[in-house]
Amino acid sequence: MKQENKKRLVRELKRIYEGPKPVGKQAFLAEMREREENPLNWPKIGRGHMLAVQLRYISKGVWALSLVIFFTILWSSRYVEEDLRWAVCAGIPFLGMVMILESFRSMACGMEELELSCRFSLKNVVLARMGILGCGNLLLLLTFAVFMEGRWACNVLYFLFPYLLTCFGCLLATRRLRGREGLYVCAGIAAAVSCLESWINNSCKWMLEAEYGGFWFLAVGVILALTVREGFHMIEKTEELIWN
Amino acid sequence: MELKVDRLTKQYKNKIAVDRVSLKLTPGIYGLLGANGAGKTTLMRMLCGILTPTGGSITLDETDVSTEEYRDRLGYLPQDFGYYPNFTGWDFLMYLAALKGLEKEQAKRRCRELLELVSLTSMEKKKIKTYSGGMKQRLGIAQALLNRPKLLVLDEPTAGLDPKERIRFRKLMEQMATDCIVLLSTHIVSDVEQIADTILIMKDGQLIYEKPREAIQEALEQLYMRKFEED
Repeated sequence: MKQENKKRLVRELKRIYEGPKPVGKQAFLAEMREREENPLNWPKIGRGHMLAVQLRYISKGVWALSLVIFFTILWSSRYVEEDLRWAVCAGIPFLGMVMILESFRSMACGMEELELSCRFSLKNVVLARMGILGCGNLLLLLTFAVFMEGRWACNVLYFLFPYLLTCFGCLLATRRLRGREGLYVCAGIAAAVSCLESWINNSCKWMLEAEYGGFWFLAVGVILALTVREGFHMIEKTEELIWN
Repeated sequence: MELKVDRLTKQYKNKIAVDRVSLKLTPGIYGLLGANGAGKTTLMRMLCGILTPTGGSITLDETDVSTEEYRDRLGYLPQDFGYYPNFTGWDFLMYLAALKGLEKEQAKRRCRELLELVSLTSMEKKKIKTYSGGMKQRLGIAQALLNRPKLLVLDEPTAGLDPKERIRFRKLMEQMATDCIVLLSTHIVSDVEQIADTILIMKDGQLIYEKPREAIQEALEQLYMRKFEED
């Protein structure tokens, strides 16, 4: 009954009150058609929006792997005699490896030619991915550094060294090797750096004393410079296809 | 609208892949023919700004090839392309629409429209790894049209398409050519014969022939074979 009354009410209202005549309907429709057909009039996204898009397209596997590495570090630190430092230094290289491999995924998957020809080209995509994953990893490093014993600044240096060393090695490998070969070499580099850090934290603990802070500062500075230089070479490589 | 290519050259060590090619292209369809290794793909890659020329220049209405504005008006289908492993057809188009700068709602409308155009609507939610070669090629054609390009560069666009799809593709290109420069390279002479307004032939990096289709009195295949025998 209520529905019938409602329908009757609507009919009566339409009969009593005539709606206004449309004004400028054809001009409006023509404008919409013109907007649709002329790409210059389409709303376009800016770089910030592009960054947000890249965040969505970073593999869920990468985030999951980063969390697995994070929790593995936390879990393993409970079984190590010393503090968290050993576990972090051994696990951090794998975070670096994951970041580099994900940043240059376009080359591994054969998407680089398509991405190079887009408005936001491959260089933007790579920089966006490196920025997002780099910031995520830095946040993890800082979290570990803050909650560990010892001086915060020294802890940051101890963690940055294996991270940057792995990034440098993986950038070198990715620039020269493609596909699965590059993946295996990067995994090997991360494992090697992890073993090096385990050795330093177990057999050369004296290197981690406060008086060696200057040495670590210099070491991190050098490896950072090398990593940045190698990063620039890789970005140059993304600016055009390597012609065979 | 005009694409100007001025003495374009690409040299690598002791091989000249593209040798001082000069062109002026206006809206219409240009069929680019040539043997394997003639320099067609290298030329197309330079026109898309993904290979840096050794010499010469490329401009589209005075906009240089290296700028974002140029790429904004470009659509490109490479000879071979890959995809991210877990992408569906829809994901692939939406991802590239974002890289081409399309806003989300606009991108969704355009993707739906193009998937229907290339008859892939029923496959949009399926992973690309399940697609046949022809489906993948149609998806590639769709992505090239996302931003309604003014310059459309297609490298072997009909490879893997069945005859029915080839006819649909030709009709689509004829529609596009009214206000767009379409450059397509192919080994299938009949595709170019049917739709191209101008025929371009490359050999050993040089442009050896450039004439409107209507000026060619003989069958295109005969002309093509004759040009290769001449030198």
